[in-house]
Amino acid sequence: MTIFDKFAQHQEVFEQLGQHNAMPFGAVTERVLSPTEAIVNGRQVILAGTNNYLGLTFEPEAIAAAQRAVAESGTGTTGSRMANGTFAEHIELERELADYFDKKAAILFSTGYSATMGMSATLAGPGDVILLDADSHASIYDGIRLSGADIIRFRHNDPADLEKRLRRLEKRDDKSGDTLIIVEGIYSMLGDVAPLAEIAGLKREYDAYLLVDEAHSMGVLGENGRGAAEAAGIEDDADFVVGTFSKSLGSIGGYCVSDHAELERLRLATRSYIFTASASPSIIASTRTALKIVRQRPELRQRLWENAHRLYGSLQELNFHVGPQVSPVVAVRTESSETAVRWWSELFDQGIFVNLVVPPASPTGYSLLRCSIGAAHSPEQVDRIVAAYATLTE
Amino acid sequence: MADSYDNVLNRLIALIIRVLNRNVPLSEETALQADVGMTSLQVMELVLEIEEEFDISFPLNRLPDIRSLGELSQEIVTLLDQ
Repeated sequence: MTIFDKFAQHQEVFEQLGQHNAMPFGAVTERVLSPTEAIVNGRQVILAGTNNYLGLTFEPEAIAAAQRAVAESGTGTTGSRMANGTFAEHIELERELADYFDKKAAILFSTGYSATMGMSATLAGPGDVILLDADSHASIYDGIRLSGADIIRFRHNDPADLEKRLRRLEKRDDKSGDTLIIVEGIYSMLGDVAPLAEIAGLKREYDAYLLVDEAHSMGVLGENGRGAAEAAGIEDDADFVVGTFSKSLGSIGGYCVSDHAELERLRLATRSYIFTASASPSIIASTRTALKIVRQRPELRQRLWENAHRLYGSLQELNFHVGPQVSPVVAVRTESSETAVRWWSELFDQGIFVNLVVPPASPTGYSLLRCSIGAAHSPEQVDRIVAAYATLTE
Repeated sequence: MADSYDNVLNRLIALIIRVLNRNVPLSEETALQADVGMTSLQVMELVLEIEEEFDISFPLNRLPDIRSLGELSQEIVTLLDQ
């Protein structure tokens, strides 16, 4: 027995992947050519799974802002926000996020993971109850484990099932604690959108709090790109909105915004905020610029959705098992992980780089080949992706 | 009046066989992951079914302390009593 024996199952998955002379999880991007193309493992590929929804990673204005910030403020803050790591630009970005979301308060985090994990771990505590969608992201599951709250899952995107569980909680002897419902805007695996209008109605009826993770929906949904809560018209019911900079904003980092001014108190209690270095000046600078672009250029969102419809519709026509609705996340389900690995390799050999998701990372036990299409993809690139999928056989 | 331990255990065993859709030897000493080979995801899915079967809220945070079907049945009895 060694300390590594418990990882034998992980090793088995990797050995299975190796049978096809491909290592999806070990793909190395050697040179990035544009928001949509790169050299990966020696091959020029279309980046079809990068979450670069608005294609802002090479935006000249954002690059220039980042370069200026490096020159003026250095490569890193070398400290946490609680110590020496709060720069004026961090405060400015927090103000700009609060203004964009039309909320009273905003807190920055160094990654999207630490934002979602930190808020899930801290908002509810012992005596409280967290009700979370069964298909929630790993960062949510990791956070709630640390919370000390009672954790109840409800079936994915099923408000009736959520209500059943809320009703059961009413019957508990001790109802002194608070209830926090956690859902995502767009779910990262299948690209489906949470039925937020119904969920917000239940939140009101049962006097619960609602946290919405807009990681995949910020910049994507809503008239102003504020996400699924805006699209559903329930922003006032979303007590806490968390998200990431590493998708639509093309950098790295995370945030929580809220109309509860008491959000400020969370700075003193959220360990993933306190015990980590703050985002580097260049990250903050490019993120601020990208946020400005999201506000100024709604046409990016329109292009994104045109591409999403083109890809989703074409794969559906080819009879692939795609997710339940059109979305920038377009996942094709396979019956076996062996098929998924082989298809990933065949797509890669044709210059299409998608994400491979195998159990237990996938929510349903199925394997997925996941594209996340962006505004920067040309219609021709989308057609090349579809043409490559058309060559795949069971 | 809460269910007895034995009654809960029998209902639980029937439920697990239904969920697994195969006949496996189960007793109060059986461990779901080590003996039956259920993944952690399958165990979480089973909890959803347990909540339906017994009309209870079963917090996932109770799972790490539970190894055997006997311990799981005892937890259900406790939750039914609340």
